[in-house]
Amino acid sequence: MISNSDMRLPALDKLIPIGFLLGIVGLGAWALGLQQDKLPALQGYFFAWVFWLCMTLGCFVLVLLAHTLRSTWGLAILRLIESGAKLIPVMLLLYLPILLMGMHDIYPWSNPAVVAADKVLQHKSVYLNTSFFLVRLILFFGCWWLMATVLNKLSQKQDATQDWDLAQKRTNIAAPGILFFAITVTFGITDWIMSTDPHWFSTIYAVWFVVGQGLAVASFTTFIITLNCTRKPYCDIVNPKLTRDLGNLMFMFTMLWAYTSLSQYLIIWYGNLPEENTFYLNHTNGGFSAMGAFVVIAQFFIPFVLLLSPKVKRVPAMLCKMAAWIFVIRIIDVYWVVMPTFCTHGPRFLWTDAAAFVGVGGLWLALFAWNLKGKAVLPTFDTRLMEADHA
Amino acid sequence: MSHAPAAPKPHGLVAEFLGPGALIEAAKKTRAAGYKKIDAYSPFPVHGLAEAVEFEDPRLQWLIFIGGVVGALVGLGLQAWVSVVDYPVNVGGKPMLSLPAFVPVLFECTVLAASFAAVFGMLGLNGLPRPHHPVFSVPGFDRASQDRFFLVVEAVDPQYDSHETADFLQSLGAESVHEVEDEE
Repeated sequence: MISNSDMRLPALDKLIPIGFLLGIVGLGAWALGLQQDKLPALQGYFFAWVFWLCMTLGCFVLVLLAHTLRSTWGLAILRLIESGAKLIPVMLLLYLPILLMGMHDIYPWSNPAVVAADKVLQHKSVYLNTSFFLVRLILFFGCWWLMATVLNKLSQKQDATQDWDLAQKRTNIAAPGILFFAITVTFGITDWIMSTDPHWFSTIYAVWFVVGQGLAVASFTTFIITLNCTRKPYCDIVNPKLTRDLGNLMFMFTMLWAYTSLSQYLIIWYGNLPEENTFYLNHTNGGFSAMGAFVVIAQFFIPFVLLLSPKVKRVPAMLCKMAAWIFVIRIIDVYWVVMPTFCTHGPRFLWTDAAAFVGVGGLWLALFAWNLKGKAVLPTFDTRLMEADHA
Repeated sequence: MSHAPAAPKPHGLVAEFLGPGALIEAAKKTRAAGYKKIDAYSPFPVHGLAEAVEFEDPRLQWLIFIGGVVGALVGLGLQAWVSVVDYPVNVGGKPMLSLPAFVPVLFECTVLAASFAAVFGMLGLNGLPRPHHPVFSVPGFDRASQDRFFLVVEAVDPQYDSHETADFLQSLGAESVHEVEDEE
């Protein structure tokens, strides 16, 4: 029998004080910046919120996937992604600064003065109006929070009771849950991110985002596991089969990201219609052009070629570097997608952007580690992970 | 091959095991004893078996990679040649050499050529199709596709000795050990 204390990862606890410190310092500095210059500070905060929202929802969607598939890679990362999915209500709270202070600045369609002068927005106002927006926001976050909480409870309960019916119960929730999430997140991403440029539309935009979320979380969890592969409990489960699975998971999301990116680009480029191509015109202004090209190379070509190699997927230290690389490029990619709507002259280097990102991120990481403090980072109900080594 | 009626050359010794665990154990011990030319047969893919017999052959993965690269270049070249040289058509005022438009076909060609390289490379490197193999003469070898697990030490191994190796395999807990002859 495996004792619970062997399943903890105390190394993760270090994130708690560091994360809270970064969170307080970052958000404090950002608040000062907000006093000085409100608009750019809010935009920077919005970018930070979007990135860490993507991490949270990525964790949630992988939880749904793990409970549906019941795969061994899903077991390896289950407690980590459950911990991230717990932060859904936190992300709703962290949305408040934008809702309370920057609604008109971030979402032009919410400003009656703008709508009054804009025929297109008048037609869109049936859907894009502040009260309906808030209803959807509360509804989506509420349903996801409820689902994540129930699934987490059921999987913790199975560790305690070893009752295998609970696994089926989770699958019964998670499998239709994926469908529900796919539909709601499409509206969610459209509302919170796409509507920052309310004239523009793309039907694959939310899929593109969800794939990016999956990629970010796959790299984040792979990084944690491979970085701690010599520590308990990961030293018992990290073997070439698991690292190959995790590597292939990142590889799959990398390809899917390229697929959705190209699909959106190709259709808009081919049609070259004025109401669609504004997105890529914005996103190639000034330095954004080079930044976009860099993301294509750094987030597709480099990981694609490296993750083809069996060696990279076999050696944990190499996979760890690969995961860190992908995670960092994800940050740049989200910046490239979100920011050009606000700063039309190319990427800017504002300390408030960095402060907001570090602040929200520090808080996120601290709470992520807090959720796992003193708890097992691997589920004990399923022993396949432990057995994989000796099979 | 000479026409002299030489004594039949042995192909190797075939040891039969009851389970995948026993097979992996035996394969590891055989490798540890210094044998290099060994092979294993099992009714289903056994995790860790390739590592246990220390099977290493990077040729196939390179073949697949080269297949993919060739497919990509051919796909790109074909489209570029057709749209720029052979049959240029002005589509929406776009340049003749419009790379984004070529990507879907380029991708498909890459996948097609890489999968052909994988399938036919695998068959070729395995020497397949091959209707007969010396190990088939082991009594009950048909159970290698049902419920038995076989380890083969080939005669070309420098350490191979009909008696000593047979005793060694027997000592690993083999159900039976047979020596099979190479066929013309």
